Amino acid sequence: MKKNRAVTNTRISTDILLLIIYVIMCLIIFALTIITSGQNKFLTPNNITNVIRQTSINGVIAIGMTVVVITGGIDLSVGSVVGLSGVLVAKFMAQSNMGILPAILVAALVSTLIGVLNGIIIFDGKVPAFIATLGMMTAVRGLIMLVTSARMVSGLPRAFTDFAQATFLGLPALFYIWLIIMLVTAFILKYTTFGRHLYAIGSNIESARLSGINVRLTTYGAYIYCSFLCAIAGIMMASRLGNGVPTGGQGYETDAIASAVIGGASLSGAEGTVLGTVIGALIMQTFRNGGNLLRINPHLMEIVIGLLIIGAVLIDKRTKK
Amino acid sequence: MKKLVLVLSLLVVVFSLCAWQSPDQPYDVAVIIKATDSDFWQYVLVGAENYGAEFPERVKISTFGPPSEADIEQQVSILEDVISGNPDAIVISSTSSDATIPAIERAMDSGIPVVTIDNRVNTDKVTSFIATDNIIAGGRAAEEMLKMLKERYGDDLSGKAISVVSSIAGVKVMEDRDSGFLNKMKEIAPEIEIIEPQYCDNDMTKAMSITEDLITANDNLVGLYGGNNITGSGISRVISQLGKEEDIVVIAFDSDPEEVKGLEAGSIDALVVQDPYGMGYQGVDFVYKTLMGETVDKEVETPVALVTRENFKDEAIQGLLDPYSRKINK
Repeated sequence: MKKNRAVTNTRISTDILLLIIYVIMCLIIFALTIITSGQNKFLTPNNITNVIRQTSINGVIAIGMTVVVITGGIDLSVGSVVGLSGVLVAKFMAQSNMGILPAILVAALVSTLIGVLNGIIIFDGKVPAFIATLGMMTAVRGLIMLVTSARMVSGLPRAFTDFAQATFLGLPALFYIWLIIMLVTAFILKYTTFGRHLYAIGSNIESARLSGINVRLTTYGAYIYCSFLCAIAGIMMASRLGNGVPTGGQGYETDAIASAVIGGASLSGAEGTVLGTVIGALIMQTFRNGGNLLRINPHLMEIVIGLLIIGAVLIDKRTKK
Repeated sequence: MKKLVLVLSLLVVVFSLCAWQSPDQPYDVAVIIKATDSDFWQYVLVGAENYGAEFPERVKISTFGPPSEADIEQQVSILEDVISGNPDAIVISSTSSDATIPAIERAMDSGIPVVTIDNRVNTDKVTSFIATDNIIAGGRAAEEMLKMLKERYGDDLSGKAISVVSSIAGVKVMEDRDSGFLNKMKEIAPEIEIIEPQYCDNDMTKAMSITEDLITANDNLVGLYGGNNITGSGISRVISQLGKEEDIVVIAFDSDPEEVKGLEAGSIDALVVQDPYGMGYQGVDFVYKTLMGETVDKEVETPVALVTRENFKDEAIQGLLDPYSRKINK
């Protein structure tokens, strides 16, 4: 127990360090935009709203990924689950004449089932998480193509597509969904037994089992929760794109894993916080946004983002020693 | 062991059922597209399948394709598998200009005619090549954009800027469309500033983010160009959400539902539309003619159409915009 507390303390300081890095990064981009263009284009309400809106979807997925990563697992099927829930919600509304709320509920439920499958394959089938979710990623993408005949699903109700564009108290509506998920997940991780069990099985699965933790249910829970958040992200994406896009979400696992890792989550398990991941996601998107504003060569940006991911882990490993 | 035998024999039964064909068949034509995940390639299939539906006594169409255009390797495997199945002819739009050469040459050598569509394969050993010249098509988009800009902002466009939302790096068709546009624009309107294109990895969410950032960063932005359906749809949504229809001239390739909606609503000013249906249809027609001993042209150019709000309602244009409306249901 004592050890746990120590871990939590270093985590908080890591999160604060991350926050400081993020603020410094924003200031640098801010200064550069002023120097290059002579006017402030970065820290304007409009651009801040843009960045927050652009981060929200990946932000939600990355939180789900963090929960899985904490258990020492990984979920490569996140992008496909996002795509699935996006096209399902679109299909239900545009082609099955379902109301907005029922369509969202059914799409979320069906997509969350993918998490159940992941959990069963990984825990009961003893298939490594990497392989199980890699297979699931491909299979679910095939399912998406099958149900949509690879065509965009259009004709969504305005009330649904307007949501992604709406703002509330000056911030994008999508952000509030992200915020609720942040708060709920942070609460689960910190104050519930399920949350503590996630860290426990990530730290040492055998001792977790011996101390009476239900490893099966905790593993199921992690993957189900991750798929559930991806389902929500998919619905957010459908609203933002105004269509159910069959290719939507492709490659999103990379950004989600990168956000978690930059945010201090460890792929060997037992480490990771919601705040860290949120800042990780913001760092990635702000960097891209800044690059666009500063007209930095896009290929150069990719190199730097790649180095950023490696660098984050390097720094983390060194400070931990 | 017993289980294994059971599973294997089940597989054999399933495969033989799939492969079972009645005798006295028309020519067996395999159509291989670049990706099953986009409307454009589905339109090619509609064209090819319609030919089969119109002339069931001539050809029987089977269709193949990898799930995504990024899957070059998988497309090569598909092609090799198709050749092993010994079809009478092959119509293929090869994603890579080189990777499929050995397989295509092997097919031609064993007497299977191969018609390539959309993307050129770097070998002379093909029956025919049917495609749009994307450099010319991109250039036409530039001319149209300049014309529209002059209508809105007058003849003096110095100080104004345009940009391109690029879909993906390293795919020749996309590079041609973007460079065709940019080079033509530099040539006919050197006074316009060109903002470095950004790549969205063919992801619509990223295309929207890039568009938002471009508009935020550049007050003098008056024109945006998207080289395919994903970038076009992404630009269109942002333009309508920000209410920039009057300020920014948008021209994009293809005709996804979102783009067509944008054209009607004003967030897109012109669409450059290829004829994928025609490519598929003509591709099958060419292999049939070859099989019947006729000679066909080695290279055929399928022209693009510029669709604006003015000519949008024309019947010919409507058929181009939604090839599904022409689909023959068997």
